[in-house]
Amino acid sequence: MTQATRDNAIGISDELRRDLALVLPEVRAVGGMKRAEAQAWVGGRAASVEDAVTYAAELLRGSAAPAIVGLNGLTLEAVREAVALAEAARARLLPMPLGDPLSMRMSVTQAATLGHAMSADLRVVIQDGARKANAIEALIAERVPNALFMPGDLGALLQLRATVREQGAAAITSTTALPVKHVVIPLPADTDPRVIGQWHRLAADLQRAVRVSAITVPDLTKVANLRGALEVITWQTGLSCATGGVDFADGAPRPSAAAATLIQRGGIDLAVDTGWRPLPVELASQCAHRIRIGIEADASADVSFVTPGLAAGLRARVMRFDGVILWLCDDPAPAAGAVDDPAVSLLRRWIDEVR
Amino acid sequence: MLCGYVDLMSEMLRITNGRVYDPANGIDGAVRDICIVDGRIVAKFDDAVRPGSVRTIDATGMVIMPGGVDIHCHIASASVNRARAMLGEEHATHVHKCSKRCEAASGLRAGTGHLTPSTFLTGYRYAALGYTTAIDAAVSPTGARQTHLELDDTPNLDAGFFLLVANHAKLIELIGRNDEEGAIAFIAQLVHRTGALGVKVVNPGGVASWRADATQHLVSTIDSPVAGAGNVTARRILHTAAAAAERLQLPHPPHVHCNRLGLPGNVATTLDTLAALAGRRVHLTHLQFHSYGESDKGEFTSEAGRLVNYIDAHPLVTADVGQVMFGSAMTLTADTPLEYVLWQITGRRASSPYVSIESELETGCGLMPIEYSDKNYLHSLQWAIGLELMLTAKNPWQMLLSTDHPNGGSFLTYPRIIAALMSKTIRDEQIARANPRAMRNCRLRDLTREMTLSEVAILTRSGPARALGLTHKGHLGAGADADITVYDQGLAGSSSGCGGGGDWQKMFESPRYVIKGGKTIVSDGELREAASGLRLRAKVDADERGEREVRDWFDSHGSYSVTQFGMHPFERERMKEV
Repeated sequence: MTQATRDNAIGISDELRRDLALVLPEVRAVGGMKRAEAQAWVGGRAASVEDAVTYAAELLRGSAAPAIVGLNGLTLEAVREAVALAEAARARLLPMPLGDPLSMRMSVTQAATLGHAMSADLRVVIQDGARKANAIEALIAERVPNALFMPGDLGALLQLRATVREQGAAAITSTTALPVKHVVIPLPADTDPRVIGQWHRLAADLQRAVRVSAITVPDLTKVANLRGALEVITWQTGLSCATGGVDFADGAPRPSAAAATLIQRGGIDLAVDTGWRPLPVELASQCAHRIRIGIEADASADVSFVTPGLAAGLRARVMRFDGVILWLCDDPAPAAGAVDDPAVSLLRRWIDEVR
Repeated sequence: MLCGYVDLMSEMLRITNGRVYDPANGIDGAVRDICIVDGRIVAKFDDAVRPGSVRTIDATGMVIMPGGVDIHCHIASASVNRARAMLGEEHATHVHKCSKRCEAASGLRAGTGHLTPSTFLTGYRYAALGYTTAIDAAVSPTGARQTHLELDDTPNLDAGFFLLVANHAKLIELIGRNDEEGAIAFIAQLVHRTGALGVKVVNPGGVASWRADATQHLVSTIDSPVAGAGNVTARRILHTAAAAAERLQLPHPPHVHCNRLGLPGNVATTLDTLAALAGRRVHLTHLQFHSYGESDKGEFTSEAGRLVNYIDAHPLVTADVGQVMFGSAMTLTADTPLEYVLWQITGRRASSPYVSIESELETGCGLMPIEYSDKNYLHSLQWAIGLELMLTAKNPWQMLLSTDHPNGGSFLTYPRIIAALMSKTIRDEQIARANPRAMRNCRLRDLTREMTLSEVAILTRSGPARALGLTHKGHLGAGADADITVYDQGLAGSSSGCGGGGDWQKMFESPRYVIKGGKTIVSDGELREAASGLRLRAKVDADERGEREVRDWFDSHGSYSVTQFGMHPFERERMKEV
């Protein structure tokens, strides 16, 4: 089956598939859903959504240390409701995986969106033999074929900064015969944060002679809508989740430690697990109760809600790693047939129950 | 309708016995009743209205003004959100929480932040100051979706934004081909698709120059060529933006942040910009940052007088001042080369965090925290120039209040600024604390003017509304939106409408009532509930030519599909066309 036919089979345009392929590791469709309804399981048995929400609200009210964990498996619309739920339930918001794709805690950030990066005339490639380029890196490579390969360790980078201080931008631009005015440095997300910080500093150092931007390319198999979740949490609470999360325990948003740290310490007794992937077993087992919102039923959870997650065809939005917001459907007009994200109505019901 | 009576469900409100300051309608402190039906002001209630169905606010001893209108602020965008994240310590200490009961009863939400409050808090704090409309001044085309989402979470404000167009690579390309028609069509399509209220011109050509050539940090004059763009200059970009605003009949003229912001001697560039647009409507923003002379020693001086003289003589020009206030601020600008230079000069030395992000060949954003000190010569001069501009302008309709929030300071400082404008005594107290050399190099000490309440109403609501083309705002005449602020003049301790005797800051900090769209959201000085605001967008005839240009742009340079650009028609339909 060709790619085009597969796309036709899931009922979305090629353009939408291409756009979403830079956010999601796989583009799934809403499929045969005719109604915007979640499905629910309680204790591993099918239940009505109403009963499951009532039970989930009871669990949340009875919890001493609840947290909404993950959040990267929710659409922007659903994340907005999740923040409201956390506030109503005096719970924590703990996005996962930890690590801000734009490294908000760095002292110097010299970054760019993908469209700007694609206009560069030289690409610095951090060498890592084991890694295969993902869709974002492949797109940059296609648009910026001229490449300079650099070792990925901190020592080599510090050496390069020293060379740049001595020789100026020529230390980089003279590596190619072509005139270089704009350099892009795609940095794999699993790069040592100190190395990422140094690349941004180098980029800022070089700005007087050549335009340079460093962009952290996420691992699409892990992040999903992480950037979207982080942005929504920040605009609604005012807090960054660069190193952890947000705690509403006293009714106000306060900085919180990160999910893994808290759970390993036994600091979370109820996890509302909303990640693109379920909590790892070693963490899930540390929580007395777990409520899962995901794309598959989870028999090990106290309550499991099944929703389409980030499926194409939903009338909802996600955010790309660089802040570009994308609809999950070709036409979100109410009459166009896209399906409302059932996670939104589910979370609203839950908020009403908790209040 | 029931038996010929007005629908009993509709909210009717009468504010009675208050002194009304409605300069747009020539009312200067007269005692008048204000009648409200269904979110609008009416001349009087219909005869069919049952007595007793109208709620009444007795405003005896109070001052009534239209709701405040902030013509230039940064409250909802990707860059503002980045600023929130950068100011972690401030957000950890400025916390607003709701009791569970309050949350359940009113739907009010918690939040954090002072300089860059979270979205809900932004709406609450503006309302608590009596402001009901605010315009975000710098949104990139690609960032428009995020701005709309953030504004959806910003209650109590009717809001819109200005779209950053002047350094868009496609626009530069069209101007370079001498294709003004194409350029205007392209701008029309951008404004239409994104749901913007107007166009913003930031350092025209300067950001594009720096994008093309890292050595081009500063535009020398408005006739310097844009790097890599042939014969394109700032002057041509300004002409194109002005022509677009005229042709498209945008409610607000081009909102211009001139070249060479913050540099000594930049008044020449500002005057060149005004001369280039002579005979056309234009709004210059944060004028204070563009009002500098340069002494023989290369020192900053005030040239506010030259700009005021020009503006006084040119009624088509409006400006907001971008008042600097002593204390913490957050520089946040689409002028990325400026921010880079600022970081090199000051921030790097102070180890300030610095962020620069280029966006899709459209524009960029730069951010860096800053502390304005009254001991610092330049900061003191900047503070004085802002006040000088407002106090010397003959026509307050042309010189409007802003802090370029959060660049010059928070919008929460507006009452302090108003107090300084209304009282020479207060100004003198502040002058005594400011850098003495700076005070000697400006005219502020000699200015005796004390603004009246009517003039304050012009600076803060009627003037901005008129400059923005918001005919239903900034006044209290029949048909206006029922956005109204009622201040308790007793708090000011002055029975007159002007003068140095009153504690005007206290009065303007704590309105007794704020009515938004006919709904009382602040009562007895307390925020009671949140009202959803309207989204204000310009009505634009976007034609096929512009559509084609946008599609071509996305086909050749887009990192996402044109179908994902901007707002869908059904989203635009939900906004209010201006």
